[in-house]
Amino acid sequence: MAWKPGDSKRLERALMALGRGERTKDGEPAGMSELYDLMAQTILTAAYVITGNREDAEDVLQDTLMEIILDAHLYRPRTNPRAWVLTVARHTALDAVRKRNRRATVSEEAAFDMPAPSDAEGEFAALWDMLAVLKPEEREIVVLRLYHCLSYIEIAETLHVSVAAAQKRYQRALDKLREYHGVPKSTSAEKQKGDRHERE
Amino acid sequence: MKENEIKTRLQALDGLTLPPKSQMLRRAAVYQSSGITRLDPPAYTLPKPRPAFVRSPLAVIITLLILFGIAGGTILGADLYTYGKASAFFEEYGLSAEGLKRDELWDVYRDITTGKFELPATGQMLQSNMGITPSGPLSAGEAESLWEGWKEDQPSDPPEGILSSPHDIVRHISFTHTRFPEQIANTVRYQMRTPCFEPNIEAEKAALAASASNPMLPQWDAGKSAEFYYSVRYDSYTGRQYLFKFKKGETVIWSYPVGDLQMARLHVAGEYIAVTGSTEGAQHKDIHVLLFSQDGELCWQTVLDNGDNESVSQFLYEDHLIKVISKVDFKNIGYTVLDMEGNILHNVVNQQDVVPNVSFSSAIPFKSGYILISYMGTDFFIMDKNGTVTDYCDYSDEQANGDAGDEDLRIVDILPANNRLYIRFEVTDKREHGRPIDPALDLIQETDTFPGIAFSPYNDIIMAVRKAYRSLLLVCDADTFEPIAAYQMNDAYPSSVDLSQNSDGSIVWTSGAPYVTTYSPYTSAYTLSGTSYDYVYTIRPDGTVEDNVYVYIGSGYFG
Repeated sequence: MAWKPGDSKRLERALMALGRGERTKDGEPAGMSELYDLMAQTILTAAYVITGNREDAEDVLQDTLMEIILDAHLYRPRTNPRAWVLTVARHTALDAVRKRNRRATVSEEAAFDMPAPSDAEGEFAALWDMLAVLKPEEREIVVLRLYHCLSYIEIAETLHVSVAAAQKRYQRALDKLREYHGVPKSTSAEKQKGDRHERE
Repeated sequence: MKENEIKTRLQALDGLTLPPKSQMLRRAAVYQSSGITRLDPPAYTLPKPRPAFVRSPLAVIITLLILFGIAGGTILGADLYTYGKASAFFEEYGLSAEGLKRDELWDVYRDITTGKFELPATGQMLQSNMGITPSGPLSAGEAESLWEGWKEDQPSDPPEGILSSPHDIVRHISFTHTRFPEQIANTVRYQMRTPCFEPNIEAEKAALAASASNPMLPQWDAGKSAEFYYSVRYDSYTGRQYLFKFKKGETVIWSYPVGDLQMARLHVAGEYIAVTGSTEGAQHKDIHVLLFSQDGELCWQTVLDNGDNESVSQFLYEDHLIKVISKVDFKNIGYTVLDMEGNILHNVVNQQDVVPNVSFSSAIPFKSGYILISYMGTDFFIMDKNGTVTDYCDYSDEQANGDAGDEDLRIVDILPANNRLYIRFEVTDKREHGRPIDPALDLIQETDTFPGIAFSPYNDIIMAVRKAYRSLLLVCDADTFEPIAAYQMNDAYPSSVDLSQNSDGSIVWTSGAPYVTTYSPYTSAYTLSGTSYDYVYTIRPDGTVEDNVYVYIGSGYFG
């Protein structure tokens, strides 16, 4: 997912406009369209790896957009807008997982009018074969780093941890993937090479 | 698995297609409507970074005095002091000093506590503790970064809000356990397979089509999927109830009149929809169970007749069987099992005199049977796999001297796990009148001007609501039901407290909290919404509480 130069400023302007309650000539919330264009795919994929299914991820996307509208005025200028939006998405997704995993006293969940696993699901089989061994928070850091190409600083801001903690968690997730798939853990030199490059 | 291979597999995420943009934006825009006064943005501050280790000026002064003060025999004392202080620091942060010489211990301690991180030994020690094979000296920034990461992972003291004093708390809980003798099993008194009421379907549908009432009041919704959902609704124009199948967007797929059923409720039974309700006859108030296919065909109707006055307490679908737990004649507990053809396979009526009026909030699977939690109570029944009620337990807030306590308790959830029952209570202060939420309402009344929309996890209204509730987790033996341990969590917003079990058997007890207060001038109502996790406690199977407590604060930054 390529984040182009200038996208941060565009996103920040969109958040500021939402926070001020501005509207377009058509009466729509100003900034919503820009926000969607810039972040919808990122939110959807982040939600997907946390929730594990497409329907919940779409619900999280919807809920995240609504939460951003409500909270946009809390965004502080000249901070990291992408991390801010991802923080909202992340908590919304974790909420969804929590509600879904709430233990049911009565088994009322059935495959009611739910589509059977289709060919479309098959294209994610290899992905989930890889990610299934990770916990949701480990999956998200791998995706943030390797798919969304966030820096450790951005990841740290998104997860509300220190940069070092983000590095450590990422490394642990990679080690777990390697261990599960039969590859030895990375050496210190490999870790420090990657970490030092990021910190510079 | 190399990073490149991971990246390649992650590219599959490109296949996730977005929903229609216009649809997403249209729904989200509902939340931003005109006419609502906004506050000026409050001066929120960024969360404070974790403080670096604070030097103790006094320790520095004392050290200097000791090192440079009295000569001779003080040198040995100084060594003991510095070594002891450094050791204490290592112990406090769980650091192993393996590989460090005695004099290096102090140097590394000072290197860290002064924030310099200049010594090679400091970086080597941190790498060693983190399981990283040292491959060369680290820069000061790298070493400091490792130190910050190490601190991040250190267990913190449990914050206020959880008390683990089993004896003190259990002492206030009065426990009674009643063992029931074998119950009387009634045979089926009356079963009717023909329709228990025969609505004129076409006339009913025509009346509904001509209905001028809009919208109808939703009552029970079930079977929600991505595209369809079901609902029993009352139409004020026709004065009748109908089972509807809707497509998203409230497009009616089909409807079926269930107008004669009172307290009509909707349940999912495998690939079918069941509707239960009661009809009042001259002598009986009976439960009727109707099973519908997804296409709106009525498969069968069956009447349960376990007593003179019967209503559904819990509806269960398990192993292709429908199980109905019912309240019979206000105090007896009925259990009826039907197959998917509507035949009654088994029924039991448990007659009991311990509890005058039984109602159950939920049925928890337990040892092939169920735990039936009393509604708004501190008690529950145990039902075995045959539907026979065998035990009754009550955990009341009774003091040792027999007086009632000053708190109201009610069981909201029970989790059987680890050969224990984890019983979650909602706890509020006892009030002569009013409700626990009244202080929050008083606060609103005291506010001269309505603040518009307020967003904060800690604004006065939210805090007033949260402080009204506590969560008590009572751990009991699963065989004797006797209390073993107890934990209490304060500021536990009731609808957000949850209990679940990890794959390793540990119990996860979470307390969420609302973080958005929304005021609508149109309805003159406050709505608390959104959820942030405030506390997540993990209780191991051995009863110890993990020290790592994760605190998530809503979304965005809050001061």
